[in-house]
Amino acid sequence: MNALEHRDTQLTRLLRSAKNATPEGLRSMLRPVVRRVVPEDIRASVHEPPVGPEGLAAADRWVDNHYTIRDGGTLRRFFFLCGCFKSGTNWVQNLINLHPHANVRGEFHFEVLRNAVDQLTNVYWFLGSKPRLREVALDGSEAMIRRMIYASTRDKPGATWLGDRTPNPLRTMIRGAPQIIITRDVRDVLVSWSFHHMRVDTEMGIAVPFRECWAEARPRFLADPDGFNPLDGLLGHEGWVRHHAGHWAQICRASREALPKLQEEGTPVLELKYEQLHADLDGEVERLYRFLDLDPALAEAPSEATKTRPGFGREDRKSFYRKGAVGEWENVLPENIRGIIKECAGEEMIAAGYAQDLNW
Amino acid sequence: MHTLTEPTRTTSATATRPGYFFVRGHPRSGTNWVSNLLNLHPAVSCTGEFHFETIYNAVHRTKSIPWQITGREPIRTELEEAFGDMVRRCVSRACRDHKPDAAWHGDRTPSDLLCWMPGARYVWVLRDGRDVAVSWTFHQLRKGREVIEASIPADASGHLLRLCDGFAEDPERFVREPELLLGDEAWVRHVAGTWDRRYRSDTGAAREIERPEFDGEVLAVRYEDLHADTEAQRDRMLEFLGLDPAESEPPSAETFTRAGYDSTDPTKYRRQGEVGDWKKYFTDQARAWYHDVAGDSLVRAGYAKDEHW
Repeated sequence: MNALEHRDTQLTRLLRSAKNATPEGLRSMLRPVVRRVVPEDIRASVHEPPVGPEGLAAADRWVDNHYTIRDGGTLRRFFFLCGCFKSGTNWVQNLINLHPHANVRGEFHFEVLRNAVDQLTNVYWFLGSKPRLREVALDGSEAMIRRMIYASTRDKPGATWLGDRTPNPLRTMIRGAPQIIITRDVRDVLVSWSFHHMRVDTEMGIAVPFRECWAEARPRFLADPDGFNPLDGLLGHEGWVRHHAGHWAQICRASREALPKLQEEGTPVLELKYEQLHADLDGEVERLYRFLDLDPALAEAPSEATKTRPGFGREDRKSFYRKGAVGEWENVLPENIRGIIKECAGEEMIAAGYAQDLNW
Repeated sequence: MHTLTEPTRTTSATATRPGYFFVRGHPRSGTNWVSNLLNLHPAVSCTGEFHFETIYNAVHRTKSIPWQITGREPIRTELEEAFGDMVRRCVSRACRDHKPDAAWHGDRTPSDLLCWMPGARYVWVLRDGRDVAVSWTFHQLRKGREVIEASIPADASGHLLRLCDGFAEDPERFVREPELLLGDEAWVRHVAGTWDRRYRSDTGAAREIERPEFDGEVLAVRYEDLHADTEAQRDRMLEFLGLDPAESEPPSAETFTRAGYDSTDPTKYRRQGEVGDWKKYFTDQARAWYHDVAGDSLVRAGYAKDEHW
């Protein structure tokens, strides 16, 4: 008996049944109440259904291709959702999760493992670089990835597509596994990212040179979030803008360069744009489900409760889902900040179709 | 259906499943020698070097970020178990290629001793850090500029880079001028620091591995003891794996399992394999630099009685 089975009490089984019988929309509404009332360890066990007779071993072996497993009589497939930070990866995750046959979680950050596997299989004096052993090492690392995703997505037994959402560039995590990438205008990304850091109460995600600026600005933000001018915080810090605009460009460039190779290898890739999701949600959602070979008619409709409608109908500067607007940058960014963005990300903006040239 | 080698959670050899062991130690400490000695037994297949520490470090990092999903159960445990399975698959595949029926499968990698696979056996090879410094310096010179630039930090590599270009043309130079080999403070401090850090880290890991709840076993093997009585140490290692030493082949020059080498060619991978070689190359100044960094560990490891060596 393993740790999971130990935790599977009658109470958790009851709560799990209730959860599975509740539509996602209602679940989202009830979530804040459940979080207050049900202790964390019980919530965790509700999220983790007991393992079947085969345990988690189903994810260990692939059938047909590296991203498909046979779980009892059901075939389950793996996919990856990526993109830049604050570009709508959470939104797309929520949209996918409206479908009863898909379950995506985040963030796994498998790039850490992949970097290590690349080293293990490419340094010429490491045994893993020998072709026959390279294949075993790659297989083993992909089994690690499948097992981790599978372990976290079993709370939706009907899901045949299991995914990871991590804000990252396009990159192979499991050979051939479908990839969905979402891109957003860097100018809106920066506005959104600067508010995100003002909201979050830890400096851990902020690079060291910008922590002083953050620590100095955050009390003013907390004292008056609605009156806070983002240019008085990180968005007004030239180094911070340079750093993150460059990071956005790096992610876009890496993805742009990876795309032809992935397509050549036969990896299905769906490219989404945040702005297009805003403009035509129904059309884009249909495209999303069709990409995964899912019937759109079976999915719940997007709703504000599931955070799946464009924007949030209001601005709440203290929420992860602050505003979700397109083109907000036009009212916020001054000339000097625009100049830095052009310098660091101008070419990639043109390549991604966000600008015709540098005269904006 | 594609089925990988069946994962095993067992690490001790049974009639149907191989046991797993890992040979670890500082580079130039005799890990190859130990691996060759173990391979003299028909039930042992040891290959290398995989460098699983690259994956181990990534696994450790992945499960240690508290706000990430990978830091929570059941993903954390699943990650650890999947990592163990990956290691077993890779090692078994490599070992079966060499010896299909071996009961023990091993990986030899000159890297840190890590507490990573419950129930496994670990052979920890130790060698006097000063001999390691000499052997390691020759090894780097033999490898040449490209490898030095790629593997040695810039603040310590200047000395080697200055020496390496002439090494191929005149490898005997250090026989005539031994004081040149360790004549640079940054380099001596670097090799001393690397050995010292490794010794401290491995000592801690050995304690961790032998915790009852981890259920691992560590056998420390000294290079110097291997020199003094190779067969006795080989037998000790085989008994550690529960094997009968009588079934093993004797050490031989052909299998690179005898102490030392006939050649003293500094350009060869197996250069000399000698104990106490360091005395030829350490000047008083080099001793002072080395002692300053690694003196305590030399004493703790039993290679020096005190600071007066």
